[in-house]
Amino acid sequence: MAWHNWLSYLPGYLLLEIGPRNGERFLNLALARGVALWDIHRRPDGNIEAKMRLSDYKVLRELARQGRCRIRIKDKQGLAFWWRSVRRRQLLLLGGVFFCLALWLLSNFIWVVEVRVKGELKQLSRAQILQAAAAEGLKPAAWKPGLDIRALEYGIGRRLPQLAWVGIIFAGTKAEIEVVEKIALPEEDRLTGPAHIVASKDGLIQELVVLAGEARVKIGETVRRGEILISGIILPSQEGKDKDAIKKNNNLTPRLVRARGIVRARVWYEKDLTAPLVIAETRLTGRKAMQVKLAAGGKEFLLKGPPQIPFSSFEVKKKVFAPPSWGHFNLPAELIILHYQETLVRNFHLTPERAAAAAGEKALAELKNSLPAGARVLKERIIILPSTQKDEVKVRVLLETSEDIGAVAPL
Amino acid sequence: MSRRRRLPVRIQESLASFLELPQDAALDLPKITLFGNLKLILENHRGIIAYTSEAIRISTTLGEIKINGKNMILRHIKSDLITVEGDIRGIEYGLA
Repeated sequence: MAWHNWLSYLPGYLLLEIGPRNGERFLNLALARGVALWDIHRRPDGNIEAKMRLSDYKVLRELARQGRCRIRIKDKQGLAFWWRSVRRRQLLLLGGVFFCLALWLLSNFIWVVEVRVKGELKQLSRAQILQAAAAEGLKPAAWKPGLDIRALEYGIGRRLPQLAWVGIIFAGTKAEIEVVEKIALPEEDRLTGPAHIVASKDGLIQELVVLAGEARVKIGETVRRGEILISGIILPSQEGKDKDAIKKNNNLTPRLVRARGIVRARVWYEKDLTAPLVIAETRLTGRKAMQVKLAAGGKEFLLKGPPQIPFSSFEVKKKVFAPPSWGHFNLPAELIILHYQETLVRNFHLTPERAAAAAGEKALAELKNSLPAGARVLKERIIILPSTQKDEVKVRVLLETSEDIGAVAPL
Repeated sequence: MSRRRRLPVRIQESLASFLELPQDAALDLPKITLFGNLKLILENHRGIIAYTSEAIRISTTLGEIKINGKNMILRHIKSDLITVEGDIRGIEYGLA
């Protein structure tokens, strides 16, 4: 119907009022002349209203005479009539044009600049990025066609060397700066001065690759925590070919390097854990209750539900509906809905074997969580220890891993 | 529609069924389409006899067809079809 209305609006149409008598005759005459009429209805006062195409206006007078009925043009609708009325009010037209122009103009500015990061910024703050962007020309009220995205990305990246990547997207009047920070080097890799590599834990050396420095241990040796594995001091006597030259110069000062290398060792961990044999478990019984309360002026009024909660132990969920605030004015009333669910506490008795297995798994999982990256688990064992208490079980877990135990220690 | 002289109705009917033509086209009958009680389309009419919002009388080759209802309006009238909208209550055939 709306489409039809538009189709008739463009060429224009007339709203006719056909006098109380001979209305039908007019309709039939119009039909015979091929004049289409629509939306015809009889008004309570007996007159008929109908719509007619503007182009059929010429035959209207003739139809009225032939039909001997009174016809009044009540309204004129259409693009042509609209245009005429607009022309009479040129200021309105000007306003419309101005509005469109202003909309177009304002949509060509950047009004909001946002920083988007995956995760968290570690080295920079959002403000710093925004500041760098502003210095490159990307700030609120910047003229959008004057911004070159590639140049901006490059410029921000140059101003902030901590960034690995900068991407800018314009979404309407909003500019989104997406950044990825460079990952900082680990602490020990930043040390450039001479250093030893020492054992970070006790272990049995399995694999030894020396990249710089001098090995102080052999494969198959056991080392204790803190022992030097690869020394950063290279003694001159061991520098093979130059031995004679050094002797000649009587120069016996050792060479200092930053030791580098991989020292994999077998490492053992153990952990004890006691677990109770009886576990208290709360379960929902499925019985529910609900209260609806109105809180106003520091008091609560019960609207629905039992005044006393019929359960001895229960969980409660509270939902508060506050009316939307209007500026700084808050309605001093809110609706509170409380859902109660009855609970039952039950003691759960475990067999010692099951309790021990569960405790062992838990202890192993905790141990494995604390392992350094790159550690390989070789063996794991759960031992049940004799317990002094009757209602608990004691377990010890053993874990054997192969891992890099080297740690950098500056000289 | 044509004002030619017609064959007798019985012969027209048998001819139409022999040729498998749609009856309304062959016999020049009015075709009424109803959408529930909200909308009525009457094709092949001969003019409007009377129109009020409670009753519309339309002339057809079958004679007069009267549509009863409430708040009825003529959505369109064209030389071959009339669309009535409103609360349609009944259709009467006043055969000539």
